[in-house]
Amino acid sequence: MSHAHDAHDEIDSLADLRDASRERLLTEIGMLRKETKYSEFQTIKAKYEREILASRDAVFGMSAELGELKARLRIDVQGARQSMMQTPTWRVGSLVLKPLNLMKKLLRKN
Amino acid sequence: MPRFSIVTPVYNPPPKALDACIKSVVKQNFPDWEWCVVNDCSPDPRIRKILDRWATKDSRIRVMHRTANGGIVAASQDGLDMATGEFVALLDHDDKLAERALGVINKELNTDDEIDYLYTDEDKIDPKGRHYDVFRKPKFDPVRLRSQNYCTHFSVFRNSLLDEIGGFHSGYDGAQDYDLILRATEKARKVAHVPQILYHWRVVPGSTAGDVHAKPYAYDAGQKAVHMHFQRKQISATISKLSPGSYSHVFGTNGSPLVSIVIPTRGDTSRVWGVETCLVEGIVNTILKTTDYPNFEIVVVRDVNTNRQMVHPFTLPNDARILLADFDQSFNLAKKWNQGVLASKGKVVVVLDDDTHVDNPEWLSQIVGQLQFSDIGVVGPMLLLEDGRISSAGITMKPKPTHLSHGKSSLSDGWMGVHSVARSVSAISGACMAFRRTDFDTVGGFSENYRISYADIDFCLKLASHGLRTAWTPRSRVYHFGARTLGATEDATDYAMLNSRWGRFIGSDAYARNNA
Repeated sequence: MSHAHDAHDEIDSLADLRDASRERLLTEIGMLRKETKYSEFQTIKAKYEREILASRDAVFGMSAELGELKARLRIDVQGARQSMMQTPTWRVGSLVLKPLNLMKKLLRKN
Repeated sequence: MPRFSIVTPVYNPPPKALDACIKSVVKQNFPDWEWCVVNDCSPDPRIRKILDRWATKDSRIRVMHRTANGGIVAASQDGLDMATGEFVALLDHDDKLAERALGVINKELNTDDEIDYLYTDEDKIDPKGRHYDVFRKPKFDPVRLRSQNYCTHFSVFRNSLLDEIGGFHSGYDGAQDYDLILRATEKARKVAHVPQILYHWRVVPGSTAGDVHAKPYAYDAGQKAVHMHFQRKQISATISKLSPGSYSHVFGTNGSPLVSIVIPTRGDTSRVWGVETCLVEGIVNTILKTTDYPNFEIVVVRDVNTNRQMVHPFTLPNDARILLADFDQSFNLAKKWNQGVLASKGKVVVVLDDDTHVDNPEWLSQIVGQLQFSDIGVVGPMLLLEDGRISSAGITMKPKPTHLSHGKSSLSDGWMGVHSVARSVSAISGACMAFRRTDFDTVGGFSENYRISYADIDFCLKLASHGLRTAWTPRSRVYHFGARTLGATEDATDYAMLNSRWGRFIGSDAYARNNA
């Protein structure tokens, strides 16, 4: 019997597979895999594996969001600082303090 | 000990160009340097005179006149032996440095004590002194360096590192700097890139800058340098020459790990190259017929209803390598990918859209081969449109996530060979991407918070935050008919999610600068 013919025979009993060729066994495995739907166990296992993945993703996601918030905070603080330094109050204040700062520098040098 | 030792082998340059080169060094606004100049028996007597005159003018210029011509490797090594500085910079005898070059580099080196190698952007100068061909380089990319010496000028090495790796090796004439950079970056603790044009490469008749075919022996030496790099990494690949200065590597399939190809599908039918085709049937059949990789399985994730009946029935060949996984939930591409990966057994997983087509046998072996490098986390192929133009050569984050080179010819090498050499990118499309199963598990797979789009980009960025790079290779080509799946549709909620996680990376891209 050729392998091709052998491979397409129906399984009558397990004994039928005992002397089956390697090719036929591989084909049967393939067909069974295709036909067999997830067993209850496999479904539960997949569900928990998905939950583990989701938890890990959440950890990575949260650390990414934290990094993002820090980056935005840094930008906001920089922006706020720059706009504060543009205000008339700040400009007048720094003008008033200029001689004082010069004095400080000179004293430090001496 | 000076901060910088500049090493320059000299062999018969045009005297004017040599003079300009010397002036550009003397004018540096950072004074702590020495210049180790090795005259390799230049036949033109004016060269010796110029060098001696400058050496008497400035004590930082140290000149050695060789008694016999030894070639560029021997002369460069003599220069290295003379160098006493903390860092060694390589300068060619007819090129110019920007006046601020050493100052800027010193500032960068002061930011991190672990920087062992540094390179800068560069441009070219024509015989009339005009600047052109600005090359704005990407940040350090070892994947691209394996295919072309894109770092070249201006290269600065920690002197102790050069001692450790044994300086220049003989037998690499014309590509001695490429070999040195490959060996140095293998050992360097950190590599830095200064994104400023601090080096001007002069184009003179007979130079490599002006004519890439000028020194054919240099490309043989470059091929050898890349080959030795792969040997040191203990990765088997065949190195071949592309256009001058670029090399491709073809990975072998020996010791191939099991690869699981995960194909999510609804079982849709569409017109492909004028023929009405069931997409999943088409791609599964072509994979089985075409692929030269010996060890793979295909996991088809199909939509089923509550009775476990296929929503859009299709027929697949009777092959033990095909597995089916059922998906009975509302559409979520990331969930489908995850389901398929969990049902697979391979050490390496490739997710592949069903609206794709492969026609080159090595499409799988070349993306999987890249994963032999431990710093690579995810790899993607060149995606092609139905008419053969490029659909995606990676994804850039600038100004927002966009496919690189979309619509451009896949037959052209692109600027500086960007279409012809493997390189790092910020992200790749989930239409086809390969990764290790262990890395997938570590980062929690694809984020199911994204319903339609961006889960692929998010995955690449999660791997990047874990220290793994994203690589793209043109050695593998996959047609992606696109816009035939929901995955091709953008979603505002998904974009908001991407922005809340990775907004700081959107808007700029160190791997895809304006002409990198």
